[in-house]
Amino acid sequence: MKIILKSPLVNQFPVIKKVDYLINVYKGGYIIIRDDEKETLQPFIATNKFKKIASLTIPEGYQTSWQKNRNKFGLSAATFYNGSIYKRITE
Amino acid sequence: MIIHKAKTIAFKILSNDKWFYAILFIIIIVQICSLDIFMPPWYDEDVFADISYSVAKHHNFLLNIHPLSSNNSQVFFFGPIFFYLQAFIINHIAFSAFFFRLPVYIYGALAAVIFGKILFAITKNKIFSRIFVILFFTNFLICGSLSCGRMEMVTLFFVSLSLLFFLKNYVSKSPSGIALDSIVSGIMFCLAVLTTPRSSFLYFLFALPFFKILVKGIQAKKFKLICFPFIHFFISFGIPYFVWYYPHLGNPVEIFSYITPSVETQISVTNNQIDINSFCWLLINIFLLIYALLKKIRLPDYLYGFIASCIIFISVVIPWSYHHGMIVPVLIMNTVLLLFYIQQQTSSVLASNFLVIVFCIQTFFTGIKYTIIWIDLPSRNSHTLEKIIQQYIPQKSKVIGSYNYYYAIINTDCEFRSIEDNTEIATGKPVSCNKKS
Repeated sequence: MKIILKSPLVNQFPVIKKVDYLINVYKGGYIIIRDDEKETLQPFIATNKFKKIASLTIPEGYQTSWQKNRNKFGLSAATFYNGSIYKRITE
Repeated sequence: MIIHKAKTIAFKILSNDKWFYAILFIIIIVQICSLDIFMPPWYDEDVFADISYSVAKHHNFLLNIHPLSSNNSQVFFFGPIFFYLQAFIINHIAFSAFFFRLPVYIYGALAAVIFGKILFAITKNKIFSRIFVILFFTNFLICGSLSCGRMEMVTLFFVSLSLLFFLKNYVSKSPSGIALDSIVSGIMFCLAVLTTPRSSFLYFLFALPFFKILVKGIQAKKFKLICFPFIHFFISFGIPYFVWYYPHLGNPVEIFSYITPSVETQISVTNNQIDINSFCWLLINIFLLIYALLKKIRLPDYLYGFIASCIIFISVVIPWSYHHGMIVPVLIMNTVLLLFYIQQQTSSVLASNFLVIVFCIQTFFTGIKYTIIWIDLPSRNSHTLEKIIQQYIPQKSKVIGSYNYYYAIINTDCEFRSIEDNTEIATGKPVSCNKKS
């Protein structure tokens, strides 16, 4: 399992390298990401090369009673696949 | 009073074939039907699934979803057995969370049956085997390990088979077939090491009996007896080394320097990490052991070895994700063995009452887990996810994404790279990304 490096200074270097690699070397055309990973998504959005094209809500407009009540137990609203799709803006 | 009633019902169920197999069948069916929805595809599973996919489609061990952190190199550390097995499923059946997790589940279930056979070989009483099987399938961590797509259960299958072949002769003290069984036992452990080298820690299960055999051989000047431990050790570790680890990772010094960064971050004692499940079962082992010693109950030597090996495993192997899924079945086996020897030599009911309470606690938590899974069913529908993805992302696209979407993206015939590819797998250190994928 991955190690999460807490310090932003430690994180900065690999994040820049990662974003550079995935956008310029791999030339990713789409990003599909969970709603609770906004922090991870942010550096990609900051490049102004991606725009949101869809939201993933499974199933559409439906929440189980368990999901609705999770907050009462101090748990975050669990979503299995809910997220967003971003498409690369044509350059 | 309640405990007494619970024990009476439990004994009736365990001693009745129809009831026992009916309950076991229901548990297994529920767990198999829950495989796909137990958890979303996650980091470890995607890593193993991606290597398996590379083996299946490109005959290499590249971790394509993490080109930076794997430095575009093939991942040879884990051994090939698990990946070849999964590659076969990918090529001949399907590539999905369900079919990636199913073989793991099957191997885990077979391991439970083999542990049951080990217990029967020792106790000659089917009730104790059945107590183990029920505790195995209702354990929270084991249920996760059976459903998570990691290789612990596959390696556990080989280790349990190795232990069965070794112990059945050791316990019965029968010399007939001991040579052949030792070789088969060694081969099985060799396969476990070729599944994941982490299984090496389970070799301590054999340490005490082998030491005893060695001493006996030296005292009796029996060359054959002296040879057994060395032959077993060579087959278990020498063959994996010469067949896989030396060609791919190099000599012992190179292997040591390769794993040192991981070892530094992955020793549980130095990193103050415990897994609550394995730790509780270890405490149960120790509690029953102290109780047995206080009651002056004679225990077999190998049982001390089993408990010692569990202490070593828990102290060394960091409990990230489901790593301890490999040791909890051994801890449960120790508990059942301790219960057997306590009941055999005293009329005390403390140990069995204690075990009933433990069973109720773990069944309560596991029951809650499966209830939540099925209540949440509509939001765990991966087929709907694939349909939405096909609608927005054309085939052959290059996708950057979260781990949850891995299978859906690959099955849409797209390329996938993890959005979190910024740490080296084992060490957490960033690595250069100058190399092109």
